[in-house]
Amino acid sequence: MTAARPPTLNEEILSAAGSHAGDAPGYLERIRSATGRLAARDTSAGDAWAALATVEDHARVDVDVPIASRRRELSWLKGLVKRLTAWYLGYLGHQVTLLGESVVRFGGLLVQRTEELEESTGRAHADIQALAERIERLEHRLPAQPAP
Amino acid sequence: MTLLPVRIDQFLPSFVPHDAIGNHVLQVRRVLRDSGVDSEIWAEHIHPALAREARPYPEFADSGIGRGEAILVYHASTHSPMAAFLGARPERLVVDYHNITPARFFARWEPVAASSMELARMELGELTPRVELGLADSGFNEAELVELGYRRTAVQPLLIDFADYDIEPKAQTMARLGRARRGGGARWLFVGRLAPNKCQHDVIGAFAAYRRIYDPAAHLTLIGGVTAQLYLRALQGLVAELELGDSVEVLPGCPFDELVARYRTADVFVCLSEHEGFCVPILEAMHFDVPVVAYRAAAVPDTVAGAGVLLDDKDPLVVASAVDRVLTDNPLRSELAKAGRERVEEHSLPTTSKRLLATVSGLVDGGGRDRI
Repeated sequence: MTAARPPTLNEEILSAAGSHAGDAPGYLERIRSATGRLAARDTSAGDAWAALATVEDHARVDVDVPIASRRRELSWLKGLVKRLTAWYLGYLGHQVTLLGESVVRFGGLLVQRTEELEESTGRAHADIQALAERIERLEHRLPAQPAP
Repeated sequence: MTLLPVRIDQFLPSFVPHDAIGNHVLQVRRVLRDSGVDSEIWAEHIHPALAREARPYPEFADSGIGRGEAILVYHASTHSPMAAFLGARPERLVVDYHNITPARFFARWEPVAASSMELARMELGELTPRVELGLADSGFNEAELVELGYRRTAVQPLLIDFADYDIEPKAQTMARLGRARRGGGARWLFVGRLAPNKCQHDVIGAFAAYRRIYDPAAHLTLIGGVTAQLYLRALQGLVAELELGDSVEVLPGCPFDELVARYRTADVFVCLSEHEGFCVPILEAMHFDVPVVAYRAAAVPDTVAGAGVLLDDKDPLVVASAVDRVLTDNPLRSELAKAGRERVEEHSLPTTSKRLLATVSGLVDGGGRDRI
């Protein structure tokens, strides 16, 4: 009989994690869901919905300009400019956000319509194919016509 | 006797202070000049603080430098017209590849940056027939060069002077962080640009799990420049959504002495990046005896090399459990600190400088295709 292999550090960590799985299940699920939403999304493979989601991410204009700086006086200056221009940026940002949201809604309709068209084109293609096969079968059944 | 070329000029798109590539370029120039090789730095964007260290690269064409005897080294990491400029030059060309982040990480956060990364990869590929030698910071980066068709490659670690980190941070900074430490709670740290490939959102998620299950007084600091503003906003939203309040500190602009202070007061360094070409902050953490818990991805396993806890799963609960283990298992922490110091020693400036000179001497007399 061979002695059991001692668990590796990673196995011990996994086992410890498993023993805490029931400690805060609701909160852990919230974490997984919230972090999952921020994971990388592939928009290069022609996924129109993913591309539209990117437009949506950028449609909300943030007018809360960051003012952090390594130099305290520069941070203060940025804060002052921010306060002085807040009304202007807010007014402008609101309109750009509305434009962005409208584009997203329009894009969503276009993608949806395109998908519906693709689906109906696919169905029409199958119908045409079936008709062509039927004609071919009928032609085989007809006696050969003498040449005029 | 080591034979060295007469002149080696370095080119990089962006030359900024306290940046891994910028520091490397300065160290390479120092090593070359100390060895009697003429060397200048040429850049596309030069930070005002480094204006005396580099010259705008278009001036190279009229400088009278080069024309046959020089070797040009292009530090590739981003899209730049410099790639085409160098590709058309008659001098011998070497690429030092620091990795280009795959565009998919940025597509949703910073589409312009994503396109720029795609262009950068194309430029790197187009240089293939012109490049005599492809250098890479890590085995991971080298594999990418080989995949692109680079015939002759070598790993040349970044030149890092760890003595730069042995400064004394401001007393008031240390006092402030010391007071916070005395308040209790483990101090988590991650250093790296606030960018989607670095997955700071996963670090925040794991930290939230750790606080809820193991240590409600724990604190997380994220340090790094902002690459994608929208991603930063999403991180701030995540902190609010997970009710983490003031326990998470995001420091986009952090002076170097404050960075050192943060390393000195950290209990654990947690890296959950999905893409890294090397990840210097891992070695920085090791230099400060801060144990490293990292996700096994891209070049991270090469950099950690057994001197940290590498995870195959970055589920928040698994990462939280790994951190708890590291912080409560004293023998493990001592073992990691010792291994970390050895790892840093392998990347010490004398070691990497020696390796650089060996690489450079291999370039003399054409070097022969497979000498390195």
